[in-house]
Amino acid sequence: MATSTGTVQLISWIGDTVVATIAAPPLADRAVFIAFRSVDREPTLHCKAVMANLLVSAFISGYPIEARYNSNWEIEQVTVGAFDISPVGPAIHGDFYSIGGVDIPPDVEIVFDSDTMTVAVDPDMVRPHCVFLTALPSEIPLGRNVVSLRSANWTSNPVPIDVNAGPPQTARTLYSGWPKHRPYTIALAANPGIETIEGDFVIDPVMADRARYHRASVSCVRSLLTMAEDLLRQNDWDRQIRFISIFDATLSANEDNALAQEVADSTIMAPRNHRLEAFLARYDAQADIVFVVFRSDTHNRESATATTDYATSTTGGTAFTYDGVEHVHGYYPRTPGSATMSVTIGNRTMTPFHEFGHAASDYNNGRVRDLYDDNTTSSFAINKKWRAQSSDPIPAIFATYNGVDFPSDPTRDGLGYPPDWVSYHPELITPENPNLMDNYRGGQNSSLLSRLDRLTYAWFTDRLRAKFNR
Amino acid sequence: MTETTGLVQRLTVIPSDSMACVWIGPTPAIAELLLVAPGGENEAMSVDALRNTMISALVAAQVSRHEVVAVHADDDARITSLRLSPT
Repeated sequence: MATSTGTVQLISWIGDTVVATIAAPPLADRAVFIAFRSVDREPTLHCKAVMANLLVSAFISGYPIEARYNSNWEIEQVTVGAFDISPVGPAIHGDFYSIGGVDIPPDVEIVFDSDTMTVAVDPDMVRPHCVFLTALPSEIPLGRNVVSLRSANWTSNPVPIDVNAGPPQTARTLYSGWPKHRPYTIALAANPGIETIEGDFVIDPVMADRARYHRASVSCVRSLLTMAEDLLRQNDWDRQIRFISIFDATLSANEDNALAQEVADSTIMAPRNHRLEAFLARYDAQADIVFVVFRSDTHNRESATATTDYATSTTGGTAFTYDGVEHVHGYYPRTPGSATMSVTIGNRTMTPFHEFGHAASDYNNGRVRDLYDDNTTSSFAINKKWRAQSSDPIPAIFATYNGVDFPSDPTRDGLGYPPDWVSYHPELITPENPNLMDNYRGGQNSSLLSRLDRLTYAWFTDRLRAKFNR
Repeated sequence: MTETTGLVQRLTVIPSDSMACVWIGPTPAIAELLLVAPGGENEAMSVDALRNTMISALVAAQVSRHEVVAVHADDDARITSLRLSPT
């Protein structure tokens, strides 16, 4: 069996055959055909019809095909695709744009080639498996383009795409995540409405500023995947994480649609986590974590609510021990973890990762708490303990997790414990920088260098592994 | 049942076996091989026709970069139902 790979230049219907001319320069064009015979079984005829439709789609889209044919040049199978990069979703001016790939170098640019011009764009975020654009530039000509990734030492395959003017998609996948049932998913959602302290529902101003929502969303992803804290990208884990965005400008502000609420006597905006699951379901979506992007002049401080996982008896989990007591890393969330995120956050900030730390912990099997205060809690906290008196010494061992002793941080490195505090923390991974769950902006170095403590990192690693492998 | 969500990275149609192989995933290197294939000898032609519309939908999704949700048994690569998701 011979093979011809290239684009379909011409398709003809002649008698009982469909003839396709495949161009694969510098080789000569090759005419191959599909024969519809009266002796063919009905399923074979159906499948040949599908194959003819595939040739038509390849002809219209500009996608190359690989045709395998016999010595009579009759096609026996056709493959379409097989690029080394994968653009995600339609190309729409002003909308997110992302491209998946393999070992994408950090200096890559996205190149759009059309009949009239070439536009090269620096991605807003690069990881080895994907690049993100906050918004597809309007300079890229409408209609047929060929997109590729290009760096100093590498150029990807060119992929034909059709660029259109809009409108941007309401729900959009930014990266598909691992091809398995319910990959670990992080959703970014523009908040349609705010529940005020008085109990009214008002339109969130973020819905009038889609461009800024896009910037804040990419800033969240950048915070999670590109800063010093490597929790989510260890072992290339971030290749497994699905990212989706929802910006639905058609929704009114009401009980069902409002995803954030003002907190009385504070400037805090809290997620309305009990509404998230039904909200996502409208878009055929589910998530483990939801970032609710909002805008408020009076309540602009972010907050988070921990995940509530299903009980182990329902959907399974991985057992662990903490100070000798058995708990479970649940596989699936009954209520996703959630965090509000002001649309005004900067391009490079650890705030999304800090809030993720709260949201990705579990209400019943270990919460990751703020370390910048001395507040006590009755719930099970992973990263915070309390002495009886502030004058009591800080124990050398903070906790025993899965049989391993994790030391305490005796000095609250980088910041120092106030003398009246009774709380204390686990040992840091990078003692020169404050804990990411502490006042990470208060250290001597850039806040972008802040990381979790050793215990929380180990606990989160096991928790996320349980969810990635579910 | 398992739902595999992703982009159609590659698709091969083989008329002699009345089947298609489809690779679904986020990138060309991370893709699950699934099949659109006959379920048995005595399958009704209506099922066969429906299955071929599924292949056509997968092709359309591939060239438009549209995400699909393929449903199959946990231990079987044959796709039993398919959704084109809003995202």
